[in-house]
Amino acid sequence: MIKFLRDFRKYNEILGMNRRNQEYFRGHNTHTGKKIADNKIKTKKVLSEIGIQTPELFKVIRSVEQLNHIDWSRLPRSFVIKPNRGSTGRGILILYGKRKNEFAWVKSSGQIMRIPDLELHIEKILQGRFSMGSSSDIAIIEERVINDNRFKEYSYKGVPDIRVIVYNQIPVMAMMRIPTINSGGTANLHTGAIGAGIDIESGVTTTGIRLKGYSIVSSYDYDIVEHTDTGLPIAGIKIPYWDKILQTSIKCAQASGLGFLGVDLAIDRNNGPVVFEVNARPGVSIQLANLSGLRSRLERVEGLKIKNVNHGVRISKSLFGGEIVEEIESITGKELVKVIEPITVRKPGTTKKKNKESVKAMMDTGVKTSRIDKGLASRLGFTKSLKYFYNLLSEVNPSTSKEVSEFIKSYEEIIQHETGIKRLARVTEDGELTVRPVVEMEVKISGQTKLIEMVVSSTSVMNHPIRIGQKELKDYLIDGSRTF
Amino acid sequence: MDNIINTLIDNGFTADTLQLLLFLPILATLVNVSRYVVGLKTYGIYAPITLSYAYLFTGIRFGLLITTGVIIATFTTFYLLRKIRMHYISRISIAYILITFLVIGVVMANEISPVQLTTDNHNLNTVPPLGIVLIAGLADFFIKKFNTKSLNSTILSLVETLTIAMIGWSLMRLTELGNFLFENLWVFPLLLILNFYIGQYRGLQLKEYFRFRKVFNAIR
Repeated sequence: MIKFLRDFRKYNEILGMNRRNQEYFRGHNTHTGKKIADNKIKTKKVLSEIGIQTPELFKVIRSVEQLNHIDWSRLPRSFVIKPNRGSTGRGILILYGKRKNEFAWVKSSGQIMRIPDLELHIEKILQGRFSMGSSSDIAIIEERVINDNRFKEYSYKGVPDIRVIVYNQIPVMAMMRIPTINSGGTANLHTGAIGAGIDIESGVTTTGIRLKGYSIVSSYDYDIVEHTDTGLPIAGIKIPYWDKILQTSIKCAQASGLGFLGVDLAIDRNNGPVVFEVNARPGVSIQLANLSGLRSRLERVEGLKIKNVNHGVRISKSLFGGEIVEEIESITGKELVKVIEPITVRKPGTTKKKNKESVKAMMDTGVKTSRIDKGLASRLGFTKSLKYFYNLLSEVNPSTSKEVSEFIKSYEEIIQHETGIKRLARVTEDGELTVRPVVEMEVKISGQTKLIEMVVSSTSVMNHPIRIGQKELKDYLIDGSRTF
Repeated sequence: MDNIINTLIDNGFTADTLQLLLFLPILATLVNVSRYVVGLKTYGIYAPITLSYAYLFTGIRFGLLITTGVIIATFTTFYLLRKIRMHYISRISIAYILITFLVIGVVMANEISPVQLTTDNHNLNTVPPLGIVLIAGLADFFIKKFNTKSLNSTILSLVETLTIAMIGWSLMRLTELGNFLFENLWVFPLLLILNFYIGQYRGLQLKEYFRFRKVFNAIR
């Protein structure tokens, strides 16, 4: 019961809609900030003033009267029509190309849109059919972002977008939305696009989710998926310009004045990261794509002060990096450890502080049984045992293979009986064959406590007080790029 | 408490009107709890409350039948007119005309049918028109939602709206609850406090516990 309640507290790490609205959307977003975010024309203006790239604005249509005077011939072959105050991607019409010598454009589905079709769509936008609050709106025609070649093979038709949640000017979570056949080329999770979590530190994708269906129990049900519609693995996609994306997100937060926001970017083949929307009410499904709670992350950056944009990026990376490590662990079922890993070691059965030490251990696949420095073993409570052993060893002084075997045969039982030494081992140290005592130690490594047999070695041959050998390392993966 | 009720009745309120009125805070609280504690997304607060009252007039069986008719008529209108340039209200108005035709058609079909739809209280022909009009109002909510959300999402909200409406209708049919409210008016200040508390509630909604179970399992 207590375990259940303790486990249940993990839900405190998750951000729900109630808290998002009450605490973050209303609590940290100014009225002016919301007005900028809810108005795409204003967003473009504010962001371009500080040098952030947004899709070029071709036309603004405020009334049916203006609609009747559009010179369609002056528009490029490909463009996007969207509502100025639209939400959740509704009402966005992407036209990919134009038929030669005709006023006819092609949608992602291949459907042909002629001028009356476009006018009807714009009229719906003007009536506020796709807009927040359903009051009348303005239609905008803007440049279409051209998919970066690196993403072409991942997405079906459309352009993947990247959502970065920024709080207190620090990026806290990110996700890439990849268009699929079901989503009809749009990057909207509710229509079936894939959401891929992103490791903030490296800008590499981790887990993928996809809408499974709707249910009265949970509204939207998502499945964890491993491949895109094009058959490529979702995990491991390196997002280009990652640092620039994080910097841009922070700048968007500063320019809009929003404390809590979602920045939507896409990577344009020619222009790099382009911001197409700033969202004052970012959804909470991003937590599913990252398999991580947003609330705990928001609380970690609460009250932090960033000195500049790069400082914000550094804080973000150091606080929220590491999902990749967790991902590898979940795939292999093995913990990832560094070459030099901090561990704590104690003599089994002791509780005193002096019998426990925190040291840096080397993960050494070159030895079978783990090694412990003689001095450290003494400090942890083996002084008398080791003194007894070494006195006996110096008296007999075995040097040949036969003498070593006989020493072990003759004295192992007495030593086990008289001391806390577990057994004797024949080892080669400094090129010479000899006998060394083996002790059992209680070691806490990467959060797990286990009993490990260790050969007590001379200080002169040890670069690190403990070397963890092959026998134990079968449960771990060693990350050669990370040192303590 | 009796004094308040007596004073109201002396001043022209009928007991029936009062009882209907006293259920309004209960239904409003029900919608509030369902929205923020459970996580059911209804078509606002007005639609589920109105439907609860409407079902009280029409009976649940006819009520749901008329609701299905209204939704079919609305969706058909929306589908047929989707390619035509038209103002929003004009579209809804056409939907209402279609709904009226449909209801009249169903009543006439019922009249000439050898097997007539009846309930304990009345048959379809005697359903109070006010109930039908209240249900027809659902067309507006349906279209508004469908304009901004996907069909799946709109239908999900419809199901959730109907669920709440049916719970509300069931509550109103409990005579014990009605009598209890009559005799215990102190419940209403408590409802006020409860609503105020829910207004401040920041915890996860029940549905979110299911929605985020994969995140929960992944957190170590």
